[in-house]
Amino acid sequence: MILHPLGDRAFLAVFFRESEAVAWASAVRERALPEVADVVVAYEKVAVFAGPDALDLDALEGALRSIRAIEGAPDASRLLVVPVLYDGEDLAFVAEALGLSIDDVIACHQATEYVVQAIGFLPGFPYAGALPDTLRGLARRASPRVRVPAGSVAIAGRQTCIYPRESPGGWHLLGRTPCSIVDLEAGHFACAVGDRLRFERIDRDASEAMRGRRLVALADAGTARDRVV
Amino acid sequence: MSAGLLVVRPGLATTVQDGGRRGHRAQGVPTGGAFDRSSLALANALVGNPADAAGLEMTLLGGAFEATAPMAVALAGAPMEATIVERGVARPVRVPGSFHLAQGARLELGGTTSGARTYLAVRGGLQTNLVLGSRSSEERLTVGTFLPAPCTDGFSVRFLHSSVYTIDLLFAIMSGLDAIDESFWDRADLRVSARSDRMGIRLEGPVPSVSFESERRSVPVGPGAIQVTESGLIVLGVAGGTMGGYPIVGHVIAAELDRVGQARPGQGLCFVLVDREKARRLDQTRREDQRRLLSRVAAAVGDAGALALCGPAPRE
Repeated sequence: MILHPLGDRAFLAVFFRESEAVAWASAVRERALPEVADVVVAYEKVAVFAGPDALDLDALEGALRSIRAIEGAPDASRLLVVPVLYDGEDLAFVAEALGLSIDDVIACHQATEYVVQAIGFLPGFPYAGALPDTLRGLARRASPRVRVPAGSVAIAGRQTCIYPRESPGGWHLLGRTPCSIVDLEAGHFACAVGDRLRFERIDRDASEAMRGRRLVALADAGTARDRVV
Repeated sequence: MSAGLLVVRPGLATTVQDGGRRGHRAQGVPTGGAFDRSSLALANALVGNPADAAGLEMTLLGGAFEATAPMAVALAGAPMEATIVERGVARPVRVPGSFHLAQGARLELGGTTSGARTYLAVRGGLQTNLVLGSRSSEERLTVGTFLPAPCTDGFSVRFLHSSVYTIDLLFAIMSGLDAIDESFWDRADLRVSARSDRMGIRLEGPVPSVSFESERRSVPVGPGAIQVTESGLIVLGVAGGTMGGYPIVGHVIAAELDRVGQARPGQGLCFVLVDREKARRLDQTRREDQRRLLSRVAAAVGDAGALALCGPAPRE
């Protein structure tokens, strides 16, 4: 691990692998150091922000340097199964650009298990990867849409994402989940960096039936049935 | 009608702010809160509140607010024209200071004469919605918005005569993750853009040359980070996104972050590089100065601070 200063009250730890970063971040969180306000993972990096009242930043740095993570604890990664109605506006464009049929695009997208690599842009917006080779390489739209509907599932580059709420956006829309992945007022965030993510095709009736339900991740990969509460 | 402030005119970009929300950056939620936290703390101290109680952050142009019940109010931060209008009589008030608003009285605010952000605190704190432990909101006030706040009787007027508000536009920074020719900071003629907001202070002027990797991945960023974009430098503000995909060439040090929130569009500003030890010393000094000022104000508010609230007790 290399620890860089991020200004005078934050640090950036850089690792070789994303899984190391995820494991170290949870080890830091487990220590519950009173000086730490936020621990943010993105890809192979982890930022640690000191709280406004923390005074001994050298002690904090020493503590961070001493933390070792045990990687790949088997129950560390949770699985989020996201039901999707694949009726996105860009399906036809994506299929043509990649030389696939629309059904192939959908089949490839839901056959892959992704890992949440970063969260940002909007509260609870997951950047997940990696897309299978067949779906890779589309640049973002030259001019982003002013309004992407809440729940939109989209792809760009090597990643896929879910828009937690309506917002502007430049990714290519494949479909929509009827479920809610973020509820700020209730403090609900469906996914965290390091979670595994799978998409499951549903039809219009199922989509209507699930509208507004809160999506929760499963600690155990096996029981996809109870994915919504 | 219950006790609070009714928005008669919202001003330019007025929002409710407190100390911000901690511990949610991992979920992509910015800390938010007052851009100039020490000025909010001063306004709060003037009415006997804890430093981070919720108040209004007014940017460049204040608004007009009507008290629906008697209440104690304070202003601090950038000097702003301020008048209390009560039964047709107008009397000016000064910033920083605290004063009593009778039921039906209006506080009319003009523009900031220097600096960019003025804070309005109400004794007991504004009681707007808590989201993730904070009342900080990026939604700008509109006409007719009602801001609940406790009512207070008999609060006396106090001004902080000794406070001189100066705006120093030299900011100490530490170098960032992306290396640049450090002499850039001595040469660069940088000016605050009118497109600045709580997400970031945009700077007009040159950008340093920096290597862009072709497949650059976003990194976690925080307030004070200086990003290089094609259209200029941006100093990230308290409401800036939690991740950034642009090169980071510097960080405004913690001691100076509050003052970033006071930079006015059109003003020129300079950066000077300091090392981490110097940054920490400056932070220490600023904390001590702030503590001394707040305890002096607390002593001055004294008896008034002990007055009972006549409305429901604040929930803080």
